[in-house]
Amino acid sequence: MSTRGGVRPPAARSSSASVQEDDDGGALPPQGHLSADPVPPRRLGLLLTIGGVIGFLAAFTLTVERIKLLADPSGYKPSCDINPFISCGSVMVTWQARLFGFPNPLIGIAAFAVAVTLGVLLLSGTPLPRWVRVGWQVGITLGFVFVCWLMTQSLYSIKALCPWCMVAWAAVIPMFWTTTVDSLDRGLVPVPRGARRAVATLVEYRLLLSVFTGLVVVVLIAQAFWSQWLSLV
Amino acid sequence: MPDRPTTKDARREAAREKARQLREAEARKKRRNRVLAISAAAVALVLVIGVAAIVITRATADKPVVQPPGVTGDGGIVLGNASAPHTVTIFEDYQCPACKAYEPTVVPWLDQQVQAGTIKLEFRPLIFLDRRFGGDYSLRAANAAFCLAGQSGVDFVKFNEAMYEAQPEEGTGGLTDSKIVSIAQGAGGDIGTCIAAGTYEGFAQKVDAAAFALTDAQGAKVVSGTPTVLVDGKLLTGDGGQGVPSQQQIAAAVGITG
Repeated sequence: MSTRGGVRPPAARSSSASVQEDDDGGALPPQGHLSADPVPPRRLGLLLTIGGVIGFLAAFTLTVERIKLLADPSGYKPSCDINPFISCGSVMVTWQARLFGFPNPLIGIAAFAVAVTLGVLLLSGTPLPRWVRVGWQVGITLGFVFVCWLMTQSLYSIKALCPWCMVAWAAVIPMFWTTTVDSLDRGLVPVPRGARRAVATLVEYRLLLSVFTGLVVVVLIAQAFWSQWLSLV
Repeated sequence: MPDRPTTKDARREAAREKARQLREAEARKKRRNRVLAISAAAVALVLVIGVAAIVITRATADKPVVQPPGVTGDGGIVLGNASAPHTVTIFEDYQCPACKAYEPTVVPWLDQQVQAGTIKLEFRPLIFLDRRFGGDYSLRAANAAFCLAGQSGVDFVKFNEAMYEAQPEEGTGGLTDSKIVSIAQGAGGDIGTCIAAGTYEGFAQKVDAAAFALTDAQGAKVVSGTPTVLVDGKLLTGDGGQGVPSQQQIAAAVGITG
C-alpha cells in the first residue's frame, strides 16, 4: 500500500489487534489503522474533489453575486432570491456574512480549492505526508465549526436561507466527517486506548455521521421555517 | 507477510491470510448493508414525521374563511362615497415600519379627499411579516381591522393611525389583544369578542395570499411587500419606478391639483 507511506502506525498496534475479534467476523485492521475497514485514500480523494468543486462553485457564485449587488445595490436581484425567506440577497448584506471584515465566500474560494487539490492528489495515489493530513484536518475542522455557526445565525438570527450557502454547508459536512474518521483511524488525532474499539466502530459506520448530521440540519431548517414552508405548500 | 511462500509454514500463513481477507470482505458487506438500512430508516422516519406534522398543523391552522361585512371579497376596507371617480388602494401590514413611516405622509390628505367625495380610499391589511419574523401580530392586527370594518360609526382612519403610532418593533410579538381592543374603542368600535375568536383570521390569510398572487397585464407581480399603492387598480410607484408615491404623485394620478 504505497499510499500509506509516511504515516507512522499508532503505538500498541499488536496488542490491540487481539481484541478486534468481534461479531463482524474478526477481521484484523491493516497496519497503521485502528479499523479493519479504513477509509480508502482514493475514495477520500474522490469525496474531497467532488465536494471541493461543488463548494468552490457555490462560494464563487456568492462572491460574484455580492459584487453585482455592490455595483447596483437597489436594482440588482440576486439569482437566488426566490422568496422572502429563501434569499441570498438578504443574507449577504448581514454582518455575519462578512465575519472577518470581508465576504465569507472569499474564504470558501481559497479553502475549497485546497480541498480539490488534496483530493486530486489522493485520487492519483500520491501519499500525503502526515503534516499535510494534520493541516487539512485542522482546516476542515475550522470550516465545519464556521459552517455550524453560520447555520445557527441563518436559522435563528437572520431568519433567511441562502441557497448557495446551503450548498457550501452540504459540501463541508461529509468532507469533515470522512476526514475526521480517517485522521482518527490513522492516529493523526491521538485516540486513548480505551476508546479505540469505539473509534474503530465509528470509522466503520462513518457514513451514518454524515447522514445523521444532514438529517439534523434538514429537521432544524424545517422547524425554524415551519410556517413559511406551510405557506408554500 | 513472507516474501517467498516456499515453506509449509509460509503456505499455511498465506492460506490464513486469504481466509482473513474473505472474512473481512464478508464483514464489510454486512456492515455496508446495515449502514444503508439505518440511513434509509432514519430518512424514512424523518419524512413520515414531517408529513404527519404538516397534516396536523394544516388541519389545525387552516382557519375557516369568513367574509367580514363591509369588506370586499379580496379584503379591501373601502372608505368613501361609492360614486367617487377614483380608488386609491394601500396594501399595508401593521407590523411594517415602512408603513408606519409612509401612511402619515399621505393618509390625512387622502382622508380629506374621501370626505370631499373625490376618491375612495381602500386599505388591504396583509400578514406576510408574520412569516418573516415569526409570531402572529400581523394576523391578529389584520383580523382586528376586518372586525372593525363592518361596524357602523367607526373611524377606520383613526384606528389605522393609532395602530401605527403604537407599533412595536418588528419581530417583538406585537401589541397585545387587549391593547388592540382599546385602540379600536378609541375609534368607536367594539371588537373584543371578534378578536378573541379570531373570526376573520382565515379570511386574512386568504387576502394575503391573493394580494401576493396579483399580476398586472404583463404578468408581473404587483405586490412584493408593503406599503404598496394602487390607483384605480394600477400600481403607482415613487420616483424612478420604485417605492411608494408621494402625496403629489397620487394627486397627479387621480387628476387633482392643489
